[in-house]
Amino acid sequence: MDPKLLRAQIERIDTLPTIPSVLKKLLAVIENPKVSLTEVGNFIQSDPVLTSRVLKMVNSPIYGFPGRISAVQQALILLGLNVVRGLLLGVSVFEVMQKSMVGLWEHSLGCAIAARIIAKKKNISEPEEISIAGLLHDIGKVVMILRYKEEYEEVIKEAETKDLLIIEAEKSIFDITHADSGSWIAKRWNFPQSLVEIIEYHHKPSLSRSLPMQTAIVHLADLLTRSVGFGFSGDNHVPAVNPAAWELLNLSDADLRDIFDEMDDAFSEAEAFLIGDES
Amino acid sequence: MKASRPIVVVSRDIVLTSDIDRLVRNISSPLFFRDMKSSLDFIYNCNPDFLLLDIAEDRDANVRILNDLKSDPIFGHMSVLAVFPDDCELPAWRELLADDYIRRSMIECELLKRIELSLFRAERIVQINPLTSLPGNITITRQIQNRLDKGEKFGVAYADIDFFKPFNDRYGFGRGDEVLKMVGRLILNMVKEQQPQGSFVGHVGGDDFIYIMDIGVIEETSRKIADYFDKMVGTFYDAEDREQRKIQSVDRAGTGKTFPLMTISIGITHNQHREFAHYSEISTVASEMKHVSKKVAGSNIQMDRRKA
Amino acid sequence: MRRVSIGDLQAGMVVAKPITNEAGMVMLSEGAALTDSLIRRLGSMEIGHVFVEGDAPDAKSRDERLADLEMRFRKTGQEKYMDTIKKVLKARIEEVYK
Ligand SMILES: [Fe+2]
Ligand SMILES: [Fe+2]
Repeated sequence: MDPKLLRAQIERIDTLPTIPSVLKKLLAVIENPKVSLTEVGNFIQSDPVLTSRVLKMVNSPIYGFPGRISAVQQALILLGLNVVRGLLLGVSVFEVMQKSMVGLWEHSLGCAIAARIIAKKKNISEPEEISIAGLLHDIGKVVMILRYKEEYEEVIKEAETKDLLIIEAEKSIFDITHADSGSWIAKRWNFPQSLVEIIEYHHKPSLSRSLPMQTAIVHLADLLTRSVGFGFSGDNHVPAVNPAAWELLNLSDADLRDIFDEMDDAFSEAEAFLIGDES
Repeated sequence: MKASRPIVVVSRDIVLTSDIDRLVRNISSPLFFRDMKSSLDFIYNCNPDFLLLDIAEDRDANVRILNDLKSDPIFGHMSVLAVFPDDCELPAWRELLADDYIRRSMIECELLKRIELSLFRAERIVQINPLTSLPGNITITRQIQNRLDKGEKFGVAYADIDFFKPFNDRYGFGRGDEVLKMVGRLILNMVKEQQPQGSFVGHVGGDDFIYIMDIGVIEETSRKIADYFDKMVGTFYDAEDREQRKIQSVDRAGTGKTFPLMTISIGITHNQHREFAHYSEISTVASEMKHVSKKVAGSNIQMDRRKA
Repeated sequence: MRRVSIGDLQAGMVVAKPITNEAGMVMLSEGAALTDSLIRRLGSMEIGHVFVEGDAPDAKSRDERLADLEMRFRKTGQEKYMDTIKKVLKARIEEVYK
């Protein structure tokens, strides 16, 4: 397919669907008159689709500071509870993410958690921002599934039968990857440049110019989340780590062990949260 | 006069919507939604100037969403025309934040003129600050004087950004405006979150903001505003400046100098322990407090604790 | 702490996270030891899972987990630095079953 056409079509996507069970829980949270912005924020931060909606909104030119805000909590303060409430009321509900690729949501959440843990280990000043990048790194898969459902199913099939990675199958069928489509939509929605860049290069972190460290962190977080088998990114085996990124991060075996320990704890908490949704 | 942006029509009535479509076609391309809920995505993204709401169906849900929208200044100046069935009683206007209404049977002969009038009226209203959509000085004065006249007890806070001018000089007015818009939203939402009813936020002009709250919550809210300001202000700088936590700019005399990142200073006064008769007295004390606050490095708040 | 579905609860397990009913009321707080009659009562509520103290005597055996790991790393386990990541993960699994 022609990348220009693809880009034009993907950029036309205005809204992303979210998962009904999350939405249900969120509405319960938000309809509670005593709810605080922090509570709503924690909630939104656990869902890539809700997060990207909120960021899209706060970075829209209507508010007058496009491309500035990448933290959910700050976005909520600037939007206000009423707008957030309305934003969520207007959410059209599909089950695309869950149905087309079961586990992608958990994979995203896992990567967000791992990214935050690694960022802290590396003493990066804004771990929450990297966490958001982790949450949204595969948003390109969602938009591709949304816009090209059949073709993407073919990608999944191709990856399975030829034992390829999803990203390789994407390239053979679309000529572009979810890293491309994700960065396009992020740019289109005026996300901060740092987010766009991390999404764009999360599979090729050494190409990132202005944020090599942050991109390397999300790259490794993605990989570590897969390597412990949390969630499902679409791939049944772990891709190789980018050597330059690994060297840049310079983690010792002990660091790595700490990171896995913290991931274990955080993941079992996240699981508790996910299960809470089913009720 | 032509509407610059599409007008939004919320109705399920097929006859009504086709009438409207025919009537307004020459001045605007209307967009139709079955209910307020489904129109929100469009409204949030396009901020239209005019909305026509059919009151006949889904009244409660629609009105609730409409009122939420209208209470946010960014969407507040969207003109709302409510269409009432001929036999329907009119509500208390404080429960339906419409700007005008029309009876169903009057649509045919009046609709066009009503839309034109309200778009024109919206153009003339200048009391709000065009940057932040917050009310300006006339409203601020009236708000404070009314409360004094009624004998209410309340707190007033003056907020002002430190090192805003060097920032403006370094990055240009466009970037400076972004900061003002951010601060406007931050103060508004913090104040409304901490005290949804009876609070007020205004934009005096430039980098000066004012808000009114109950005495019990104003100090804590101000502290939160200062905290969030410190957290957010960094993103308005370029990466190098942000990392160094200072910028190169010029001072008032025009000589090159280094300045720290912007901070916010807030001065608070209240009439708990002493009486103010006039708006100007309270504003003098609040701005005195702000000047005390400005002398302290970093973001800072100062509460007036004097008794006389 | 681990998650156990209602059907697999056994007397003697210790609750690790408060169990609440639909209204959000705490029915059993953390630290409570489960008895057969409590388990029966939990069974009549609409609860799917309970968190209890202790690490899972994992549903999966050590060999199964190691096999999963091999499977995940089958194509890249030899690549530069991937051997390190794999080695650390392998050691963690072995430690649990020591
Ligand atoms: Fe990816
Ligand atoms: Fe991924």
